[in-house]
Amino acid sequence: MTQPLRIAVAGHTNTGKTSLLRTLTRDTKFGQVSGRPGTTRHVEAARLLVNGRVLLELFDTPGLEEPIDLLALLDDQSAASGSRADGPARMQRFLESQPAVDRFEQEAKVIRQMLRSDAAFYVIDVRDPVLAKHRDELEILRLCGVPLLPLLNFVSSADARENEWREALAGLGLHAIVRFDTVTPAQDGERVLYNKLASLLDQHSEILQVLIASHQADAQQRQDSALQLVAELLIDVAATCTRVNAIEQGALELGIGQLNDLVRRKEQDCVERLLSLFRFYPDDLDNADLPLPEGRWSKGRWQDDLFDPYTLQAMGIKVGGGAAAGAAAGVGIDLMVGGITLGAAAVTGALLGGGLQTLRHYGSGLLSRVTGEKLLRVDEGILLALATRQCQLIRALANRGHAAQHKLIPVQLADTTAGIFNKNRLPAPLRQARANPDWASKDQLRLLDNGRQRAVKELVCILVAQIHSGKQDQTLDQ
Amino acid sequence: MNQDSTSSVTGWQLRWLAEAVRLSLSQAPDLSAERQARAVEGDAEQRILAWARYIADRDGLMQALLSARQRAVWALVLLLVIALFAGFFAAMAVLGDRSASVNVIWALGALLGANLLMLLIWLLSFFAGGQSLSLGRFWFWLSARFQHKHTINLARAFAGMTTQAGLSRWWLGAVSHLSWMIALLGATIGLLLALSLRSYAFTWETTILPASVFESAVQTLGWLPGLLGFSVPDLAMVQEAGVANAQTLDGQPDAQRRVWASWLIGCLLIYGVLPRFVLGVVCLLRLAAGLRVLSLPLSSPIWNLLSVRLSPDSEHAGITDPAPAQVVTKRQQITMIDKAEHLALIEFELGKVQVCHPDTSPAISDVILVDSREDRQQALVSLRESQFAGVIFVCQAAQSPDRGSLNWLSDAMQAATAVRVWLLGADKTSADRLEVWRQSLLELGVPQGAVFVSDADARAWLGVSL
Repeated sequence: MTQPLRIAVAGHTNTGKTSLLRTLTRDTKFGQVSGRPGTTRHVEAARLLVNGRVLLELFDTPGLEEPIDLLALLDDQSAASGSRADGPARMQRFLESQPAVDRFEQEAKVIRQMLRSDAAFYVIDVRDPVLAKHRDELEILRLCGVPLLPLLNFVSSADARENEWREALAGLGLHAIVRFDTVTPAQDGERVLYNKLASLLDQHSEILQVLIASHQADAQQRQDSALQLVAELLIDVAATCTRVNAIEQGALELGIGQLNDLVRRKEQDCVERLLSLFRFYPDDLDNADLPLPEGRWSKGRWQDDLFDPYTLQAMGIKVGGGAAAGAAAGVGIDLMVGGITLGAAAVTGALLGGGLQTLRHYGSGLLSRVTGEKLLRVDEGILLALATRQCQLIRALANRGHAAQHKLIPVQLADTTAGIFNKNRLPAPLRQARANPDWASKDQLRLLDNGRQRAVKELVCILVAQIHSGKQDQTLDQ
Repeated sequence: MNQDSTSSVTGWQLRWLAEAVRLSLSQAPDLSAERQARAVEGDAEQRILAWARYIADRDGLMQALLSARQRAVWALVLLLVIALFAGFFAAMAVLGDRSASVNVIWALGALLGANLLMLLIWLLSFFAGGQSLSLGRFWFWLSARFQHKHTINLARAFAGMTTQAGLSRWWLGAVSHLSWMIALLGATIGLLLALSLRSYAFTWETTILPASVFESAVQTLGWLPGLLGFSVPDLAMVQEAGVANAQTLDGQPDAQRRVWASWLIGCLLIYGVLPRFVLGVVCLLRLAAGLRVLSLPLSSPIWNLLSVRLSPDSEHAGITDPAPAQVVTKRQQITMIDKAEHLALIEFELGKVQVCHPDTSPAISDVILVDSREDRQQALVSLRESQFAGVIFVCQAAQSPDRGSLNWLSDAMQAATAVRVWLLGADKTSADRLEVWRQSLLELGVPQGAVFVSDADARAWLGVSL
């Protein structure tokens, strides 16, 4: 395993060769992609590495544009020489002849690269009909004497003619075929692709297995990272709370506005990190400034935070005065909740209408009761919406090929009907975060215990389960 | 930079350094450090460590780490000295400075009570996982106090890293147990000193308990120290020391005093110092084991981005064969057909689609299908030989025109007297693709009006009903 494997990517013009390279290298900035034929007219290379070692070199070649005339020329050259040379020898003869430097210069580049490679992908746009020129093209590539793996691109398109192509390829003796949509690759598409390649390249299959294993590990790591980012965001937002003076005019609105902005900034930050984690760029998203969901949650249920068992637990300790208080605290809590429940009902009317309502929460802490301050918190609905949206973004990014030219559209909130958590109840880690306002700060000098970290871990587990069970991948990608 | 001292930074301390470097950097990537690190042979973690090392050497963080390490040790020494003195004076206070009788049970309770209570709280918080006030925390606070503003990130990094790895409870515990052990040793020293230089009589007192409780308590407590050679007062001795017998300083024989002193010291060592020592060692061992296998959490979002940048899974290798020069061929303007009469219809590369038969329209005299090399040659021959009034080319709009097809179309158009082009299925084709066709046909010299971009228009013009 010393030399990297060299793979040429060949095909008719405008079938998505550069797109294939973008998707395989996860690099949206590789080469140039457009709907015009003949966009790539040079040979461009990319390397795939594992632990700093180059395993695979991929060569993007120009499209073959004149296969019919080229094959005619090759036939003429053979007839003129009268010899029965094998394919590569005929190709060598062509490369040394005059047409290889003028009329067929572009095709000569492809052939030269083919001869230098260990194998080649033949990229097919299955929306095209099978034509004589394609057959001639395959004939030319076959003459290069390199294992050829036809790759069916755009298989998920409505007017794909997959069977027609399969028949034609079988007729030409090409039976190992791989389906690979460069824009929306299947989840294990890459693995299937490299496995097929490995079956053609017996002596190099070890390299490809290493590559497959490494890419799988990377994908897993990416997903872990992504979910952790989202979990941290959720814990962060759930723990966030601010106090506002309830008596002062306008203080409430100001506080709500500030909290709104804070949540928006945090989400924006998370989205940007997710994008760069999956190696996309902000311009891949339709709207860089993600508006927080409107409407549905703005008339959200109002609920006093003090009903929350976790808050109660935390309070119990405070009320009872330290860990030693034990069972006696239970009684104290009940009494207090009774008192607060009655008082809190008065605040219900104070809901603001319209706009981005981050919070509908007047969780009134004991201290707030005394000082006349209100404790503002982010509403559960917003938390659920955040969770849903971020998870859908992760799923969309994980399934998006790096060749995709269309933009991702942030999920409309209507999709949360199939929401990520049980709508009426936040998952336990988030309820814990509610009761621990200091979790919103990330100062490690203060967080020596790993309660926050445990909550993040637990939440990641919940998100994983959600992401895998979720059947609602519908149409984030449009 | 002192080579010896920096080379002592190994293993987990390098990871600590990396974490501190990460915290002290702003968002912008450090390009020169990343370039350096990419040149290092090895996996992602080794490259991150090289990256951190480079930045730390440059920004003086390495020196800061060495001195932070030192300061932490000093803070610990300070804490231990305080503990030693605290223990020492506690023992002095318990025995009292007046030369009088010492209530043994009371004294033992005073020396061990606080320790045992704190041990219990530590155990509870350890298993409950909550944070508690501990001497470990105090030490951390103390050593963080000693840091400069510039190097506070080192303390942050240490706390963050060990918490992440679940190791903070072990070092918190180790410092805590070590301090208590030293304090209890201090108490032992104080006890020894006082017992050496002063004369005490030992008693026990009670108001409501029967004497048998004290007898069995002394025996039970003394059993374990007794195994290790400390003396245990026998039953008679315990009875004699009872307050009922009202021992005075002069009344207690010296031999009995020595037994009581030995029992007291034995209990302090076995029930005070020994458990703290054992727990401290356990904590240190767990900490050491944890630190040995400590690795950077590369899959966590805080490292993932950097690790991907330093150890990319793909890279651009550049253009290996440059593009040929663009050749622009100037082509003659082509005449457009006026009347649909005596036409040849060429179905060019349509695959399995068939548009017309010769008899579907009176205007069409011949339909020629063109796909393969032979088709192309034959079609050119028949265009040149039969004198059609015009040729209409039917092409699939959805396919992108390549150079070979355009070359042949050009040849065929030159052979025809007048021409029209029908882009089949143009209504369902993207605007981009149609624009490519429009441009290409313009370059071939086909006037814009000669191109049908609607199947209905083309059929109407040809007089084909379907």
